Amino acid sequence: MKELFKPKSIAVIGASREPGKVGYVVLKNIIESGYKGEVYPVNPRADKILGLNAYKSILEVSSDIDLAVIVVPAQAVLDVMEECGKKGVKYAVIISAGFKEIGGEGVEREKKLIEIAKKYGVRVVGPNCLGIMDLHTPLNATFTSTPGVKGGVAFVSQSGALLSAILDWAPRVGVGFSKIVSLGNKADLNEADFLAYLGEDLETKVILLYLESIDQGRRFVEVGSTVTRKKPIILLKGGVTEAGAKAALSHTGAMAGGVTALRAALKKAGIIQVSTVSELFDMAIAFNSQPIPMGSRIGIVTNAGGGGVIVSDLLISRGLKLAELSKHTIEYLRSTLPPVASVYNPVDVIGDARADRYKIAIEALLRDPNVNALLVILTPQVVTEPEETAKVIVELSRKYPSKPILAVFIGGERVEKAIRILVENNIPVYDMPERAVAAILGLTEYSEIREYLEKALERVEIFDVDKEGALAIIEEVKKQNRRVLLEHEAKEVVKYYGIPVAPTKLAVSEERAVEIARRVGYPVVVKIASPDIIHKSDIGGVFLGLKSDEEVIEAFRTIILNAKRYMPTAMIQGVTVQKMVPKGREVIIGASKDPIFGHILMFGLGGVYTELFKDVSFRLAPLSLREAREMITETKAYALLRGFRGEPPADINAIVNVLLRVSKLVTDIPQIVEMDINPLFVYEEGVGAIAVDVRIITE
Amino acid sequence: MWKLVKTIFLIGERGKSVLIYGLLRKFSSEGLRVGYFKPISKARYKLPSMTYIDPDVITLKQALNLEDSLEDMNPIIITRSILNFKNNIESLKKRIEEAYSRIASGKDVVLAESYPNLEVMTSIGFPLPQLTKMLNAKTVFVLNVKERDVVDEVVDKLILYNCYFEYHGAKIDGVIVNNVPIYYSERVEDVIVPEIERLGLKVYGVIREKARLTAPTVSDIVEALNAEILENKDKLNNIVEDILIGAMAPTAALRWLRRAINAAIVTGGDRTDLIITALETKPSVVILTGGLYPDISVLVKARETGTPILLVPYDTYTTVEKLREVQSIITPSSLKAKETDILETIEKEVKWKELLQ
Repeated sequence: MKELFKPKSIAVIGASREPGKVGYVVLKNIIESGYKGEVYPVNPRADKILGLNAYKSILEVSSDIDLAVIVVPAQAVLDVMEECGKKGVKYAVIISAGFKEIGGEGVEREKKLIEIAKKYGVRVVGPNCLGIMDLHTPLNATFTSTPGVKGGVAFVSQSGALLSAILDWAPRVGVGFSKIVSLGNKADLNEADFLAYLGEDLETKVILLYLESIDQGRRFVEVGSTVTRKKPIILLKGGVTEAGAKAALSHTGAMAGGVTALRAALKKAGIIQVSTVSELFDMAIAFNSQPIPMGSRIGIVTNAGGGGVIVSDLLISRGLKLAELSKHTIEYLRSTLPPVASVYNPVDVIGDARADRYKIAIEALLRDPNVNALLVILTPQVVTEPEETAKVIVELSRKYPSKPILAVFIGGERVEKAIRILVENNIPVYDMPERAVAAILGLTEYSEIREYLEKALERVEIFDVDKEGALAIIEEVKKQNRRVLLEHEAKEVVKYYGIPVAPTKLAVSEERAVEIARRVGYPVVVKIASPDIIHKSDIGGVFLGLKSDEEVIEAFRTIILNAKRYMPTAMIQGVTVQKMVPKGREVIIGASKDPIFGHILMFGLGGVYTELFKDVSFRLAPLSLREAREMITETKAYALLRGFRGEPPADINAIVNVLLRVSKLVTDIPQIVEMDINPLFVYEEGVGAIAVDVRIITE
Repeated sequence: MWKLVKTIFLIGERGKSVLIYGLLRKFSSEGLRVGYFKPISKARYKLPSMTYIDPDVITLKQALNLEDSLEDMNPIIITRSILNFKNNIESLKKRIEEAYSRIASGKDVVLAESYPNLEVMTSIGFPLPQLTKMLNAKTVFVLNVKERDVVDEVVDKLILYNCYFEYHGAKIDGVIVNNVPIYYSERVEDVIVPEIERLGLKVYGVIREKARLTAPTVSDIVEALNAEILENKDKLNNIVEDILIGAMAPTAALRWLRRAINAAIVTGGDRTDLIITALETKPSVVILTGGLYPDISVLVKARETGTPILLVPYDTYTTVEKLREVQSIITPSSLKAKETDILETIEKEVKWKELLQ
């Protein structure tokens, strides 16, 4: 994307002479940003704009053009793009609105726009966007009125208005930007493209994303997991609705499309998710200037007991730890601080502390190997020296560059100057404790993510599967114009993937049912077979523990009658006859295809517990061995499986095996949109597990 | 060439119209000139000319491009009273005879369809057997198996009507066993069919239960609901086999949405999330109720997926009721939508050649 962010030449198509028009502002911004390359205004009705020669068409420009910024009305964009293509333009930033976002003809127009772009190989930002900025080039090809400050933060936003607001606000808190991208409609280039580029960009230290939609979920996760090994990505996702979060997670089907899928995807990508704009930038400030901590044990220095207590509470409630200071540090502090000071973490240098006392405490904690990151809290009291203390922090931060320091200076006028000193010297400073805690949480989370991604994502290979066999069944179901596989079909499919199942056959008459029962051996289970009936037992469609021919015949008749009574419209295919297997501990394994991110896998305790306790875990497919194990260990059910109160441990390896095979199945055959094994009976360690009921739904 | 029977009278239970459509299509594809005759029908629909008509007759006329007039295809329409016909049976018979002769002229075969209740007009001395005799028709009884808890009942019913026909000096020639669920198949083939044959009746076909042999198209629905088409006006040929109400959270609704095939999703126009989720599952149509116009993103998504979006003023319940009505009637487009399936059924499961002999 060099020609986008560092172009040798730019054409502004739709440049205007009238101040206040977008075509004027954009051109003016490019010139005033200090851009060194060639700029060509294009406007058929002007000779000169802002002192530059104007061209009737981009085709009239004799030299090569890297980047075209398009601000003409939507109706004219297609013709302009055609010309850009002929001219050999590499990138087009289309600011004009009037595309997909207006629906109807706009959708068609955007489609045509992409066709033209593809034809000529022009890559497009937008349409309907604010433009792009590179503060290092420097280049401001946007129509925002605020230029922004140079730094290491890249900000990619789907909202143009939010961008302008942030640019205006950023200098006050010391956020400097490397690149700014307004995505607009994402007709061509989307978040994944920019992530890939910014991941390699040496001018960018941290990437901020504000997204309302994610276009290529799988690619987003893949690119994300590569980039987050090098630098942090922080995402604020709009449109994560409460309703989605509340939706019952006990059913596999409820997993897709919602918050669960997003979380599973971000976990795999190693992307940090925040829920407020404030958090997004509080973290950005810290990442921009501070090193990544080696752990999550936090040291606190404060001159107010209250501040220390509040921060401790916040830290602990959000899963961080207070560092336990070393004996050496404690003794040192005891000998140097006044007797009423608290020498344990949080270290309270008390109200009358001047800068020198802060220095003693801060340095002691920075030297303590038990402290991974430091929070310095200052409240302006009678003898407090805010500016001097700020200088101490700056000095010590330089002296100990491998540990992050974050400052919390609570107050108004009296701390104003001190805050400016900190900002100018790249020390993250916050006006409220919770904001600093959010930032430090981001730092520690990222250090964990980096470590996790190294280990977690290596693939497992499973070879003993028969994809053709499984596909053949699914194709046959499709031919019958069905989406739902019957139980015996679904079991056959998972069997091809090496998952042990209870033997099950379809019977279309009483006589066949008896034949099958005799063949598999009594006792048997008889269940209704109908693609239209989801909850078989709710309609009286399941009979367990049948021991004789007579019982099987009776069950057949009753089940058909019940099904006809409760669901007269259901298409009944007969019943399935299944060998009764010994009872094991019940777990559920499920998979559901999210429209954006692909398949998510679920694990949970079976029976009523799933619904009652919502004790379930999720991961995005394909699973690594470590992820499969984590899915089990992070549930409460794990305690039961491991053997609770003298019960022998269950065969956890067998569950891992089934999880990995389900992951392989849905990855190999993406037509499966939903499946679950409910229940999977798990036996004692070494004995294995068996799928008792399997459901599969295809596209 | 075999000796042709001129008129086949299909009497009996639900499912006759589709069967007749399939048979007539089959016959005409064999080069026969075909006619359709429904001497007595129940009034279900009022034409703009204030005359009553049975909509099935219109549908068959349109679907088969028949040139005969509606009045000839269906001369007698019962609105309320049957007993009132008592005094002019002769003119009634005359009307039927004349209409029939117009229908039959120039045709190789005419399929006649009975009134839903077989006892009709017995009270006025013009029972069905007499009518079949009058038309010199081959009478075939269509039995519907699915609706019975004890499948053997069909034989009892058949015997009763056979007696009724014999009493009036007519006869039932044979039977088509229709709508046989999988779980009754073996019983029907091994026990019921031989039993019927033992009565001296022919079995012209055993038709398996099909998920649906007719399905309205989106344009049928547009007409029935008087709906406004908000998007994809040119994609109204989708068929609708399932109705789903979107009242849950989108993620929960997915379970049902994914199972449905060719579904109409009925929901409020303000349920943006749900509609977008629904569009992912490729439904046939999304119907927005309560006159609530949707968010622009819904229309954009619908344009991308090619799914028609309809807007209706009714509440969800009323909308679904009306949809069920559309599903229960047959329309020309609903017959055409499933034509391949219907013809395949006739070809494979009905001895259509024997019917003509």
